Amino acid sequence: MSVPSVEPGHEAVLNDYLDALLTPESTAQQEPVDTEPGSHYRLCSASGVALALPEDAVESALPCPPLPTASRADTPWYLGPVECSGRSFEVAHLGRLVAPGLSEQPAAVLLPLRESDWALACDEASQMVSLREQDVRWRKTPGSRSWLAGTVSARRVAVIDVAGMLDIFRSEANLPAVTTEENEK
Amino acid sequence: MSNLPHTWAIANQKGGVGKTTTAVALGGLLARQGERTLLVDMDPHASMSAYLQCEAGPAGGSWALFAKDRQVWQTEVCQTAIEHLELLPAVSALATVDRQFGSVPGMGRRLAEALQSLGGRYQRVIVDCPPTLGVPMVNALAACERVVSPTQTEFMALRGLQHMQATLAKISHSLGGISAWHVVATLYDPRTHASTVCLQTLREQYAEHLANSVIPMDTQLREASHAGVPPHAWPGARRAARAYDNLLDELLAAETQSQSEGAA
Repeated sequence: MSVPSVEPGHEAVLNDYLDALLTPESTAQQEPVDTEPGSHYRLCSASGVALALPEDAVESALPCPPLPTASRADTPWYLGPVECSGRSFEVAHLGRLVAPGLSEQPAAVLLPLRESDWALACDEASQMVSLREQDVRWRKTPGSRSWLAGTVSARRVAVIDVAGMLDIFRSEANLPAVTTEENEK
Repeated sequence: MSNLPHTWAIANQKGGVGKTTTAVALGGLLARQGERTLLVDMDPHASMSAYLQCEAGPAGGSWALFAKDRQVWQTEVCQTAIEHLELLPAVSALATVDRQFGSVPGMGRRLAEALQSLGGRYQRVIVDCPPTLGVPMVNALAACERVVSPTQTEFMALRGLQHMQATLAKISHSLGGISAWHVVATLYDPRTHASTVCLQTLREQYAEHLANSVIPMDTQLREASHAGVPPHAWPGARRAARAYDNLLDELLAAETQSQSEGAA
């Protein structure tokens, strides 16, 4: 079967893409940081911001159903209750919470938070990584962004404090209290 | 003997060439023969799901193939109105699969792995692909032993076929093997010059791959899809149904030949 000639650069990119997709997962090369012992995090992005959620705090990743377009002026990140997978979640738009004002894409993934009624709507949540304690510059004193646990400068990722985030939800969305396991730091 | 179902991907990198109709027609005919057949809708447009009037469940139909829990997709399979014919429906979220998983190694093999876990539940699997190259199409091409490319008998469709040929060559290179490829002329209208010229071009340029059966333009196919039944079950679509019957015979004969060559 002959391959029609195309731009060599294009062809190389496409070949790399297909090779990666078709590499058996058991033999796929992992990024070096993932082979180190550490805590597991789910990487996600929202409004162009890369974020890491402790894997223990996330139930699953679900395809995002249509979300309400209206939101309250004082809490624009709160999208209200949404039905998904036979359950009702209070949904928070992760991008609006962590980076208010940045341009948004339609949310594609819903991340229900374990042992709570809340779920986070985000653009994508595809990768799992292991982060060692020393990889993260942990916040020593709480600031105005109580959802922020720390940052990983090598990956340009913000690590989310899920307990702090749920505190924001509880205090600002004026909903009944929710419970969660303490965020692993 | 392997428990793996015979898997055919219906693929062409051009829309509107008759992929979904071909998938439903072949699936319907196989089911009529008593073969337990699974149709997999990998197109975010979910045309096949709409055709057979099946909606995805809470895990998102074929989207669930990419979920962390690798078995959950099986709960999404629904029985169609046709005996022996089941469907894994699609959802619009499939359009986001590339954005979410396009850089994750191994994501192109999820469907193949899923089919391996089925045991002998199905004898046949037919995958309806989207018209664009991406994670869903790569999964279908990596899982199948035979690619069927419906090709509308008009000039623009030939371009889509060239793209498809290039893609198949690249996939074969990545997998280290090659699937059998069948080009099927569809929407053929002998009254138009464009159709006859295009069919002749297909015969000249794709002689090795072109099926003898030609699927005619048949407006009754639209009525069949509206009624949610495969062409063979719609009395008005006899011409097209007969052509699809001939096509199935050709594909099964090619499959038998491949098996006997493999056994020799």
